[in-house]
Amino acid sequence: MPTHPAGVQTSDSALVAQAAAGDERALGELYDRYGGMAFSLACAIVVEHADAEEVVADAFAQVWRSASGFEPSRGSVAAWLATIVRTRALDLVRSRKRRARVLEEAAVVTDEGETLVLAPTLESPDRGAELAETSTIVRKSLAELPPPQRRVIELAYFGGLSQSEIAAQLSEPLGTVKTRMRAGMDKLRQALRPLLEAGT
Amino acid sequence: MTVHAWLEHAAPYALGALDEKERTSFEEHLASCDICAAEVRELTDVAGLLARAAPSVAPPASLRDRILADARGVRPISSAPVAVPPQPVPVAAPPKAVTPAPGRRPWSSVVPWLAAAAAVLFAVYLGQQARTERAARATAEQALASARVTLDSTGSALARRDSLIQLLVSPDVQAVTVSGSGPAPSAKYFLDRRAQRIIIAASSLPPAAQGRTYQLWGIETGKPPVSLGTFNTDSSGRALASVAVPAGLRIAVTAVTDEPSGGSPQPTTTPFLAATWKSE
Repeated sequence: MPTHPAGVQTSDSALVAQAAAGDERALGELYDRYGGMAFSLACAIVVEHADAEEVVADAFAQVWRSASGFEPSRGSVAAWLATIVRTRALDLVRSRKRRARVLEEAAVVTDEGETLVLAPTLESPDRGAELAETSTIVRKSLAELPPPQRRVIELAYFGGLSQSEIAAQLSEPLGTVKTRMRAGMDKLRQALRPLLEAGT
Repeated sequence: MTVHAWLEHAAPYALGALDEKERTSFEEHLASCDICAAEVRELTDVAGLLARAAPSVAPPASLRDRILADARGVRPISSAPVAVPPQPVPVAAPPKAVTPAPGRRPWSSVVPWLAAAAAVLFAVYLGQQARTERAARATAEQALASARVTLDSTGSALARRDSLIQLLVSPDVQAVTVSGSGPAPSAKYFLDRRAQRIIIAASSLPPAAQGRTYQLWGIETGKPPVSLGTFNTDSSGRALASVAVPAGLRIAVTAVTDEPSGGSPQPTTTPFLAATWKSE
């Protein structure tokens, strides 16, 4: 873990606790760590960038107001924040009577003829090599899944579709979608275990 | 359904991909199954990491300033000022959240029957002053017990009323009214730390949307909120709920959130009707 100029880096959950006590600097630090991730996630779900800004601002406002409700035993700060951003982004898309970006835009087809839900990406706007490294590992793990498994997971997470909606979208039997989703999530869990254990 | 069959719901649940009905029944199961809860916790972290796979887009520089400027205008709930009554935080954002109707009623016009009941009960209480308080309570409890046997169908209503009586006449009760200068809703809370009970009487609070409920939280300073139970208002926007406070919970703040039916382990929407309590 890189050392902060001021000394040992404050843990994510300690920052949330400081935010809960009303410390604005802690909120700023959380934004510096996860603002890039939050904005990228919002952009992957909503269609307009202005909407993504709205989503991220609302999400951090929620973090600020309900920081005391954060329960470390229930998951990481990053996962908590991602859940808030994703929920708000999908709510906004639904309230606009639109579909998520991944469903509105044409699917990306690679040179190998593989259909992707998410466009491949290289750079990361996150500050710090550690967070960029996390993104690289997650993207690589996702890319290594069999494409049908990856697709159902991406449609659920970034498209906000339920299993039956995915089945309809892909014209596949519901049972197939369920099996792929479970198998894909199990593989991701194995691949991402080092990150999960590090509490990233 | 076997535990094994329930486990199959964990991955789609973590991805938010269960249909509404499946989600509701799985959440009920989750509340009592440590195995599924552990599985969901881990897979939720996996799903949380998926956010990192989103193609990278740098946020505009102005966004950080905007977030911090917004934060300056709002105080996090755990550090709410000691002044009572605090401003209720408006219910914000969630699509099914109830938008409170404008206008607010003074407490006295909201539950006149409660005031009347309290007055009658107080008179009864005074009549029993000759006895010790403990004896009076024993008598009330005995009467209640027999009433429960004879009036089975109204047993829970009597039990509720009994706890109301005991709390309202208790010398240990603290009361806080939460009604800001803004629009409704408002609420009156009665907390008896010794008897470990709290009553919330809410008003001008539209009933929660279908599939939703209101959830009452107790917050100890520096700790996550603890659910005290769920309730809903009637068509007139009123609710009266008496709930037990878990032993050892030193409530500093109580607040309400709008949650999916059955309640949530932790608040998922913005708390409102927040009241701060002085320690014993």
